[in-house]
Amino acid sequence: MRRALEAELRKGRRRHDAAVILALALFVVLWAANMNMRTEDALATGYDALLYGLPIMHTVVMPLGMAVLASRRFDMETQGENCKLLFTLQEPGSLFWAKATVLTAENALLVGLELAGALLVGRAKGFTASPPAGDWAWLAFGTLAVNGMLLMLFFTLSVRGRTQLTALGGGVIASLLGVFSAYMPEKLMLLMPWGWYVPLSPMRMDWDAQTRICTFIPDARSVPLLLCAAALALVFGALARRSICGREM
Amino acid sequence: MNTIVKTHALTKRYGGETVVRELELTVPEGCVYGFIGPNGAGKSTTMKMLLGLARPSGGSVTLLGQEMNEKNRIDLLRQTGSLIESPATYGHLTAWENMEIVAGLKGVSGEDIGRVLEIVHLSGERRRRVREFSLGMKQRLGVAQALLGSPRLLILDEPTNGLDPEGIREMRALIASLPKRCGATVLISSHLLGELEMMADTVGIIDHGRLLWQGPLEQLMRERGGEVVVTRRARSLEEIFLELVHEQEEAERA
Repeated sequence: MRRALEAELRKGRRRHDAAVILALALFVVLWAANMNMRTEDALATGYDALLYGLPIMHTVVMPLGMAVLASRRFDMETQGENCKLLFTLQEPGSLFWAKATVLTAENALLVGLELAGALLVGRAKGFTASPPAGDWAWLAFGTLAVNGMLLMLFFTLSVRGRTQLTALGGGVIASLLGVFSAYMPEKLMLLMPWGWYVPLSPMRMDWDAQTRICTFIPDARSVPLLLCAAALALVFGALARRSICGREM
Repeated sequence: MNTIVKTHALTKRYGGETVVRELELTVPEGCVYGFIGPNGAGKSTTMKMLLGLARPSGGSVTLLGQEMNEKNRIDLLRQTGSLIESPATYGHLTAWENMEIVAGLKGVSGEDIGRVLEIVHLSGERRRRVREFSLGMKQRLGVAQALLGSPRLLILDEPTNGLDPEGIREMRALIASLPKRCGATVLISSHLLGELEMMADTVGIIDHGRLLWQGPLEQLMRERGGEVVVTRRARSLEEIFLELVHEQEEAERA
């Protein structure tokens, strides 16, 4: 496994994978920085607004982002027809684990960077309240779990598809559907796993049409849904592993 | 003489079609074994089964004296080098970096990379990205990958594919020198009979998945080559191959 992981890291040279992750994180952070928060009330609830807004941004950005990361990870093997050499040097299962490990690390790096960036945005804008640590941790876990599920789904599509367009096309569709799912009733949202960023959000918004006052209310943390996302990540991961191990040249 | 590759009733079916039929291949140690057959004869499929890249529908493969199974496959293949159809490379990496990946997976030191790049005449190109390589250079890099770790067995499937005559000549000279230079047994497949005639000392002839003949090339030429006329035989290996295939077809029709 160590050799497989070292080989996987060597393959990443000159591919600028870190730049892709940075670009995704920066996109979300810049979007967050563009949120209109100038009044005293807005600055007082700035972090709550971010906790509400970031999951919505994730439904748009992350499905396509995960499709890009997953397809890039296997595309290098498809382009060079490298599996026919790799499978004489390592067990197919170790190739899966090495790639899954790198993808998980990329997921963690992306979530870490964008949440850190969002907190810095709050500081720069002068939010007056302190960021609620528990809620930010929950947001991190929720994002990691849904990202992980999508990563493994698109990784499976990359392995099974003859071209990386299958995974990328899936990412585009999921991102588009994610935009709509973010504003659907919650029960309907639960039928769209790629949009689970919103039901897993630690914050919801209450908009009073008469007073035109928007209030952010901490939402119940749905542990079953988080576990569901994690379980689906494992299921898709198992599918991806099976696809790699069952590949005949 | 030791046998380095032996198959027993090796068979491969895809759906209802049998592409390799009960193959009894025997590759003696230290030879250059030419595996000859037209396109679609089952050469590549056989080689993939020898490497465990395709699962046999029946029969067995014995490699380096051990019957290959899921548990010992990688350990056996660490003593084997292969180049199947086209070289497997990462275009965004340099030749040296591509070799480092293979060396790392094989558990071979970096010093060996310099040695094998020297053998295939790619030392001067080691810092160049592989996507800038010509097809011939990529094929040579593929052979270099196969040579890492001084394998006892080299399995090369159509290594001269896509090469120009000069490239074919260079590859032929390289392959013919490998047993003496590296002590490896070479199992090479091709549909270019003239080329194999110049490289191989042992041949196996396959058509429609069946092994028609195998043994020393000299014996085949003696039995079927006709009288020696001036400095060349009356018939070439290509002519003999076509005759064997024709005989087989006649036998199947009868």
